Amino acid sequence: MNTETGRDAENRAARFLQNKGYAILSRNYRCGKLGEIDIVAKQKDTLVFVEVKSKKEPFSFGTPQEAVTFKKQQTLVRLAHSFMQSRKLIGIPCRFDVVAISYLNQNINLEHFQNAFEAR
Amino acid sequence: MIARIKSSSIYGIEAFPVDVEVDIAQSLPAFHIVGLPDKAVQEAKERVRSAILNSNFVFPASRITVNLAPADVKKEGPSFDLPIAMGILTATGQVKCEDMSQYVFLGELALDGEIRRVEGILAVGMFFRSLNASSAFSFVVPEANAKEGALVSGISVYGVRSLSEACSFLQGDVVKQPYVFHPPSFVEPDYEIDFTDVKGQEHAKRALEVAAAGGHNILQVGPPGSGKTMLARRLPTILPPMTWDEGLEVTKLYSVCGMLPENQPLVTSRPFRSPHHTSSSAGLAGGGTYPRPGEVSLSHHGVLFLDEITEFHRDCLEILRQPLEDGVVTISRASATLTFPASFMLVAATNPCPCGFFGDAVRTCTCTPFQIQKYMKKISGPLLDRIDLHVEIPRVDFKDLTKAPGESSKGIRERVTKARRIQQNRFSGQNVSCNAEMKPKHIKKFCVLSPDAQELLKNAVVSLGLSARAHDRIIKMGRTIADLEEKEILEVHHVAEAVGYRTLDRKLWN
Repeated sequence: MNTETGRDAENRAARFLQNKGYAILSRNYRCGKLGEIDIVAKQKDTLVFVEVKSKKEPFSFGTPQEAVTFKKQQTLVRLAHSFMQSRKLIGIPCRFDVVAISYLNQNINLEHFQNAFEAR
Repeated sequence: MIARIKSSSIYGIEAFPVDVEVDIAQSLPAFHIVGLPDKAVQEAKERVRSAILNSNFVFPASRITVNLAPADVKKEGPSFDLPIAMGILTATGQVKCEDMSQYVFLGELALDGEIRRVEGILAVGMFFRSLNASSAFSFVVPEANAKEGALVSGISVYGVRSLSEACSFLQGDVVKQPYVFHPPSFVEPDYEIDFTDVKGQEHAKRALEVAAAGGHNILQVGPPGSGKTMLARRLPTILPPMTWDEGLEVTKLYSVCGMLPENQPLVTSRPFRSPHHTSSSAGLAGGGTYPRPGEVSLSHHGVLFLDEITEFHRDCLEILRQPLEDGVVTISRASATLTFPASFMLVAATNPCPCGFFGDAVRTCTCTPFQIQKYMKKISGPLLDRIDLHVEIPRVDFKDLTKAPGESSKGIRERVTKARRIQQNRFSGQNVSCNAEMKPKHIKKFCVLSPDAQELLKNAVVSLGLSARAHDRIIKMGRTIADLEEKEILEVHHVAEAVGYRTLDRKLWN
């Protein structure tokens, strides 16, 4: 059930980005035991690493975007390094985005946070 | 894409130049500040980001590295906000300025892009002027600090209110005139208090007049409520007005400490500092991780009033020895040794004993001789030797309370100023400004005693058991008293009055 929701959210996010003119380079990029990046896309020259978070109501544990914790951010930064190395993408602009999707009864609400966080 | 912006920081009370280098690289977005920043500088990240976004500029999603050179000196304070923001905007090409290297930036940013006032602008201006006259710098500083910066002649200071205003000024979209500041006159300082408020205590007023005329230190001893504090507070009103250079020195100190009132860019009246007797030694002498001037420096060219001097911690009082002798205070820390100016007039007040009524005509003292001795021993001999005048302040008689008001501060100040002018002419080119600062060679040269006065002094030293230093102090005070009468030779009555100001300590401190 939860995996289902997650899958659905990632598909919606990918469609949303494509409609905005992003080119999807990779879905569910994995590297060893590090974890995974939901979507890697390209907007013009900029590489965009996208984390998709979804929540069903009621929001008893906060909004979806709040769930991108510092630890998750660090994982994504490590994965981004690994992705860029494996594809030999060096010295190109890149950023981290978060797409938050909340399922409210029949309404589906999608929010896109550009440059949501930074590597430290 | 590298931008290099000039800025400055303060160590102690002196400014040093800081180059803010901003590099924007295409990599994972990040924001790093290096070059030994303290917490306030680290937090500039969040202020700069919000200020740039809220001023309708783009904050780059790139790897931003800020270096504060020289990299081995610790930097503190929020004044790097503006230079860092300008660096980011220049490096991303959002602000185009032909010659960025002629500008020096200082300012704290608010989240909405407003620029807040910072500390030490005057010290920065003085430093850059002393660098090199041929390479002229322009200063972009917070509007609230512009008047203060304009006190330094020969530099152009531009005041800005917000980040966007600063940018349009640099691009030439807005033409600004450098700040011109007409300083207020020093001639008639405005005081709310006056010596006419003090009833009776004529001899104490005379002693303060002598102290003010020669820059001597003074100790007042008396029971509670006799007017020691009241007298001391009125001392600045009879001191001669500050000169321009003195005012600038004091302003620099207050600017570095962030104690300059916003609407008053120049300190024109002599400082009066009265630290509480619980002050720590660092609070009095100065100190801290980033060393700051203490109370002795904040009363530079003014009055340091220590009320209830016997209640101060002993180590705090002993700290005063160096500044009283040299006019500076030297603070040595592992990182550096700093010297702050601390040329002040010490005014101390104390009760004669723990209960306060020893020697009082009306109330009886309830202290034992041991208690009195212990109380007074708090002021060490060496410190007491450095205090020229000791005056007893007895309780005020009722008939004095209803008397007509005494002489106003203005009249006394005129006499004091005249005596000081005589001293200035006498010591011109000698690195001494008043009688209290005379060195032995000056005493020999300028203090000629009449034969009678010589005889009186000899008797006084022998019978009272005065030290060699006390002997010199009496001559210095005699010189001041003679200056007040505009006499060249020290007569008997001059020396006699001076000896009168020294005897009290021998009575109480035995």
